[in-house]
Amino acid sequence: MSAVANGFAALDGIEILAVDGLLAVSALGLLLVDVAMPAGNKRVIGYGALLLLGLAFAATFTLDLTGTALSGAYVGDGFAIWCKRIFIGAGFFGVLGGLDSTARIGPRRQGEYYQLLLMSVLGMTLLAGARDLILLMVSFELMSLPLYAMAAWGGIGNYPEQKGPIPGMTMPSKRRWHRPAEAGLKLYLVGAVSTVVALYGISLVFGLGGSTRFAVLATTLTGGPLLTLAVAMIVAGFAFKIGAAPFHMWVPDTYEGASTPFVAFLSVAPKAAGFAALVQLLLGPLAGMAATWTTLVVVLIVVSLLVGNLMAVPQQNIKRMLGFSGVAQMGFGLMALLAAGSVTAHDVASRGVRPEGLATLLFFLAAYMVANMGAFFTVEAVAAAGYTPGKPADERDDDDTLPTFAGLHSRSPALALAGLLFVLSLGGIPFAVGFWAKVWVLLSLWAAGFGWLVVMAAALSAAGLFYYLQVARSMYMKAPVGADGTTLPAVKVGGGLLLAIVLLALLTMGVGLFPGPVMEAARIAAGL
Amino acid sequence: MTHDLLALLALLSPLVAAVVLFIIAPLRVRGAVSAALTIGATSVSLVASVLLAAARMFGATAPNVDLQLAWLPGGAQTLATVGVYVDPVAAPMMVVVALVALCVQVYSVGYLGHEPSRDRGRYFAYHALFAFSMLGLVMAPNLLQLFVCWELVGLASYLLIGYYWTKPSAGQAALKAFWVTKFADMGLMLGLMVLYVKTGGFDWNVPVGQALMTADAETIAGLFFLAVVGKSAQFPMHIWLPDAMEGPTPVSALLHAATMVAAGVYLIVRAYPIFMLAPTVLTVMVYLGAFTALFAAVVAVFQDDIKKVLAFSTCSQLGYMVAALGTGSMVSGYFHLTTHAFFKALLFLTAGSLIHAVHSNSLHDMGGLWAKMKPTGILLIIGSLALAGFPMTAGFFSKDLILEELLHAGHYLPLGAAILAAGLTAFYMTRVVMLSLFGAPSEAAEHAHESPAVMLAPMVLLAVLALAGGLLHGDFARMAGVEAAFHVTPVGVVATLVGFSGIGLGLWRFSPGRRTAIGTQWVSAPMRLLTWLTASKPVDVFFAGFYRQAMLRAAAGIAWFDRYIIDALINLSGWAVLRGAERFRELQTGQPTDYVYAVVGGLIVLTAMGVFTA
Amino acid sequence: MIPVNGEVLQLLLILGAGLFALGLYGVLTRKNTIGLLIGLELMANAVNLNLVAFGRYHGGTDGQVFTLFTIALTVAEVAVGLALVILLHRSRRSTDLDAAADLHG
Repeated sequence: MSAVANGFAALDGIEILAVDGLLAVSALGLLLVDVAMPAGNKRVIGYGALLLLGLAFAATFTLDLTGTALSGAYVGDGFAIWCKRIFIGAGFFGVLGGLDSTARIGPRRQGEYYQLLLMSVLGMTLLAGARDLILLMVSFELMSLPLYAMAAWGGIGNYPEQKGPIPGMTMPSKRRWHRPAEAGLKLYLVGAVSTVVALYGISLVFGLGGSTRFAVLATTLTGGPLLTLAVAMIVAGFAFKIGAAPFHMWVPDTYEGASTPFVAFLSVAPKAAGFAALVQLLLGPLAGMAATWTTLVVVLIVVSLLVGNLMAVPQQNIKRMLGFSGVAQMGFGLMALLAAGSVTAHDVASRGVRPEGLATLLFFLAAYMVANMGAFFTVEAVAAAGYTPGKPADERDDDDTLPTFAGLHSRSPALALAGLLFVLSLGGIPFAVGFWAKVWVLLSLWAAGFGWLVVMAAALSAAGLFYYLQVARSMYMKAPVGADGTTLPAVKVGGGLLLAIVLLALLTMGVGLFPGPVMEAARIAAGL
Repeated sequence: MTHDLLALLALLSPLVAAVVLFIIAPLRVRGAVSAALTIGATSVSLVASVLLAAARMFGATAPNVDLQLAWLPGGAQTLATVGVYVDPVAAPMMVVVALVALCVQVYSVGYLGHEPSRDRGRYFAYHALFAFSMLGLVMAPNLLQLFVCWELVGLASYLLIGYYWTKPSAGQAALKAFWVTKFADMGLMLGLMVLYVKTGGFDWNVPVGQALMTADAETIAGLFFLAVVGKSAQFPMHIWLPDAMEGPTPVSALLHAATMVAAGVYLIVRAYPIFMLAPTVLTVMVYLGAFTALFAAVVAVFQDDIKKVLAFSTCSQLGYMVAALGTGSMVSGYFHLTTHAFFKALLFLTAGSLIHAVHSNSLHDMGGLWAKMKPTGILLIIGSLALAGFPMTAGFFSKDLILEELLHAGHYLPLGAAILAAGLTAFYMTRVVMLSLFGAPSEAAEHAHESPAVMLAPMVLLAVLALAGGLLHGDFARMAGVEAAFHVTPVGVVATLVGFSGIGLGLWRFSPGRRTAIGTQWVSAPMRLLTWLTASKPVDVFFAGFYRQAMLRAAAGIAWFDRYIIDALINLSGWAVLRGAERFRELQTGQPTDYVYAVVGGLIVLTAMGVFTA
Repeated sequence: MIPVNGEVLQLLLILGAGLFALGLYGVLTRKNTIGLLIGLELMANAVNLNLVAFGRYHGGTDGQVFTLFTIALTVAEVAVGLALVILLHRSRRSTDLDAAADLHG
């Protein structure tokens, strides 16, 4: 039975979509404001987006969003609400940290950037509670399509009427001018193919189960070779979104090419959304296929850990390094997913979920968001200072390579400290928040009976410290001198970027010192 | 409820001040703002502490404050908590810490008045951090939080001792203090591990029915005691304390008299249920404490630097406390800890006042200051009398209690050492008083002038407590559940007489008329040998020789191993990884089509795996 | 209208799989981004065919509704793709994929 056929009855419980409604109205409202505003610097739209995202974030705490809506196609539970907070929080920080950069790259076209971002967040929040194949795919695409455009936003595309340099404007470097197009195209190509693959798998699920509703599918799906193929295609399709190897090839290139504050958003929010979709499908209608999909997830984990950690080592560009290390981090996320689903066969009563594993995943995603966004913002702050040793003048802006971090502790002690904190958190060193996330994931996986995977992950994670600590070494143990012998300038950070870094650093440290309450909240959200 | 709030207020207000000062640089670089903020926060702590203590002593019995936050949740059972815990044991120590910290901070405003504003700002920020760490230690609900704060205290003291960072000796002293105490801290850490393994928690109250085996208790208490020996400067790890006198004098008053060195003793007080199960460790404590008390008192007699006299005196007094706790009497040791905090802080502050006046630490450069600095002189004499255990001063009551306990427990040898040390204490303090205040003024003393009121006021407050603090002994006893009215005992009479003779001997030996030469020249040849043997020199030499040589040898070995074996292995594996990774990099071709191939390849692998397992 | 029974469904699924493979072949072999987008479109249509076939087989409107949504999604996706191709052309004066291979390693 479809939502359309039910008429007005479908509107029962619609109030649990209040936050999503607010986001939709915000995105469209900002579009109208953008059109109505006279041409010029449209920075104010960014403030509007920030305010609305802040409101939406607050609303996830003040409103009661639990319940069922759209005749069962949408369910608001602790999991969905927690995910919404991650998405909206990531959007909030993405806007906050990117205010300056966005205004610098495309002063006249800022409006569209923020509308796209809000649309993408809307797609994610809808995805978090989807219990229907149609809603799942529509919201998944609503999330993805704006990301393609945003990845390409910022270069030559921001000046459609312009054939060459703009008089009176300092020309951005070649990198800045040409690379967003490539970043967007690569994201799009891998993304579009993966989406179609996932859609094909979902069409098979629909065909075999005879319904689009998860509740129905859970009882009608029985198994068979076609369903196995469908599961493989679905896992592959969503693995692209979370950037797990071997579906990760877009990650480093897009991270390097796109604007850094956007990458900060891209590297966390859609990945969390990908996990939300996987949780909905694999722990829901496909829970009966756990024996199959856990095998596939184990393959993804092993490959991701190996490829991510190994490829991150030789990287000189920090954004690429963070990209590859993010692939390894996703291995950890998948381990939490594995822990959540691995005992499904023994524990069918509770929706086929081990809640401890699910709680671990929720905590991991939040911890990863905080530290990873912070790391990218630190890169942005250093790169925006604009000095590249030994490079021609037209390539000097926005350099993200390791040498630009040399001696950062003497150029901006506070920024270096924040950067160190983020890197330590990503590396899983006590007592930053990432440490607890990793420890909890490993414990939870151990309890689920994957001892060998725990050992391997711990060993590779220790190897991963090498490239994280290389950044720390560059910041603290090198003289602030460039390769060409010139002294690197002091780094000044201000405005939204500063606020974002400070808030994220406080979260990383605060939750790292007192993980208890947040872990408890994650447990409750996971239904423990 | 109000008590919960008070406890939180007491702990968190210095933290807020510290965080604000560390983060907001414009506030920190202004010395006056920084000082005002820190002093304000400490005042809040003091008021809260006094209110909390008043409701738990003097016969009142308020319920304990026990606020705990799950720090490390571990599924069903919480692994560790953090929070505030105020019981009749913690309350008096809170008052001592907050009070002495406040006095020292106010005093510092005057003492460091000539330092650059930026440096003073830094100094007060460290003070706020120290106050928070120390209060966190005192109010810890379990030994794990105590350990974390213990380390924080170490860090703050390192920062404070190294305040004159431009002075190389200050930096070295800070480093020495740091390493010696760090070595000892290993004991605490290991002890906590054993405790956790044996009891599954970090509580000092071992749950009933889960009795700790005596052997385990001995191990744990022994390891804890190692940390105490380091932190509370007991022989032979006292060597860092005299060196630490390089720091500003108010810092010495706070750290090396009243609070930080007392943290070790407080650890014993807190973990007393565990120590009570370890009779061997208790006996070791009695003998080592008494030996330190005598040994340090002897060394103190031969010091010319007024701060070093006080430093060795602190070692000696801490020895008394450790010995007292070893007899199984928590009250006597703890009570001496509080009274000592008041009069020793007072003595350090008066010494600072004298140093401030003559710009020298040496007793040679003082003399005849009585005429110029009467208030400081009176305060110095009050402090010295209290330290010497002059009847009816605070030190008299607490020292008397300790001697009685030693007698009671039948430790006659340590009792003799303690009585002898009491006489020596009276003697060396008289020496300090006579040399600094009376006699012919030195050249520097000619231009001396009294310290400002901002420095005198806190000293007066401490002097009042040094005189009247003894009246609290009944309340301390009640805290431990014993009624103890003060009564005159033979041992008390003996000790008092020994003390008087010490004072008399000092007055006679150092009376202005008799004094031919001041300083160590008055010592006869056999005494010089004794000096050399007992002064910290041989111990220092031993440590410098043995400890450093052994460490250097070991370090050289490790370095060799590190360079030729570990490095080689790391380089080899690093090289392999890098080469491998470089190869892998070629997979990331940059050609978009190849990326789609990866997707398709991955899909095929996944499908194959799916079919394989199905 | 031909009723979709098991046999017909099987034929339609095979046709869909063929379309999907054909589209994938196009995506993997085309150097020109426009051709690549056409291949993508073929793959998406395979999905649509599957959905319609399953919908008719099961009866009801779910399949048709789903198909309408996926058509809309595909259109939006290809529209974004074309915009990116235009951007690539403005940047490199070429619509070949080789033009977008600067970032690597």
